[in-house]
Amino acid sequence: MEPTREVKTTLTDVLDRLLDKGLVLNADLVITVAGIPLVAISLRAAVAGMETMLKYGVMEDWDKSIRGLNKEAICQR
Amino acid sequence: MNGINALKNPEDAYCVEEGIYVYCIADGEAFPFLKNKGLGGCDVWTYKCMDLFAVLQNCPAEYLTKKDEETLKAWVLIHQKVIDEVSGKSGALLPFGFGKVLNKREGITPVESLKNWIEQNHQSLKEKLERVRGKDEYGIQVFLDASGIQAELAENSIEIARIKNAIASSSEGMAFLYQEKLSRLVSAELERKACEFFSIFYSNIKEFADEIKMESTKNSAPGKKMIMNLSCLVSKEQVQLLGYLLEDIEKDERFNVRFTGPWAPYSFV
Repeated sequence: MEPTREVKTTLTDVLDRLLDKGLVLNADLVITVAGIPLVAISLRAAVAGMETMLKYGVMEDWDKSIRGLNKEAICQR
Repeated sequence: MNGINALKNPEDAYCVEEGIYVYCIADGEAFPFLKNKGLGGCDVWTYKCMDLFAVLQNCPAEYLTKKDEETLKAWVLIHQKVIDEVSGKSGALLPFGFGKVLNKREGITPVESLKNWIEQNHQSLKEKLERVRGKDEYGIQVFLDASGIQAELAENSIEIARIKNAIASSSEGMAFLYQEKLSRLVSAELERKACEFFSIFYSNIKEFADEIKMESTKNSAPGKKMIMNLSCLVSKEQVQLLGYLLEDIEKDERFNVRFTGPWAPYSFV
């Protein structure tokens, strides 16, 4: 089995890693961007319902473009 | 460029007053600019400090908060794209999560703050880089065909068969109570089975992963149950073997496996 980040990979996988994880800077150095936790919540909420939306043809264009970006990233590796 | 000035060259970094967005810390040969553009189409540049370098773009914090949801979604992927490019060029890297901005404070420029931070944490950063060198993060999610397992349990469990008989021969009210009991019993059995499978798969996966982080399981499609959600740090030479193992798991029709990656080691820094 080959690991994938293309067709089967959704934005959820990226968000899971980018929003809560990664290297931590000292709290007094980093500017607390007040919008970020809210951004995380709203992005997650949007993504959680995405499969259903795709099922009914909503957000298809957006999904294609995002997956296109993701595919491009893979090709560059 | 939405009011954000691009740098003419990385040496101008100390002049950046408004804020810098940090992507990652890496080692290896630094390169001045990245091919990929960053958030808002800004140039992404590197800042060398000691034997490490940071990948940055200039970006005041306010710039990040004013964006609409669609833009932010696209930016999350741009962040990942930049990390991917660095990953292909650097020795090892430690990624930051999305949205980390350093601003000017007490007369110190953001780059000076970053420089101080790298110098103070140099030893720890080096250790972390060594820990992830030659390895990538992979996501493994295993789904159980819950409907299939429930049917299997219903056929094989004496207790379940007994309750089913009781339902058939009871009044409507009693049948409802038995039905409730049955669904609780089936759920408990399903959980027990899921735990059994988890421990078998986990110990097998452990053979091929240097480190494993257990993530919480999520709701999945009806009839499916996510029994395992792992982030694994895997060395490049073990990935194929891990793939074979997961292939074997998926040969059993009761399971579906999602194997994603390679990712930068977000869960192991």
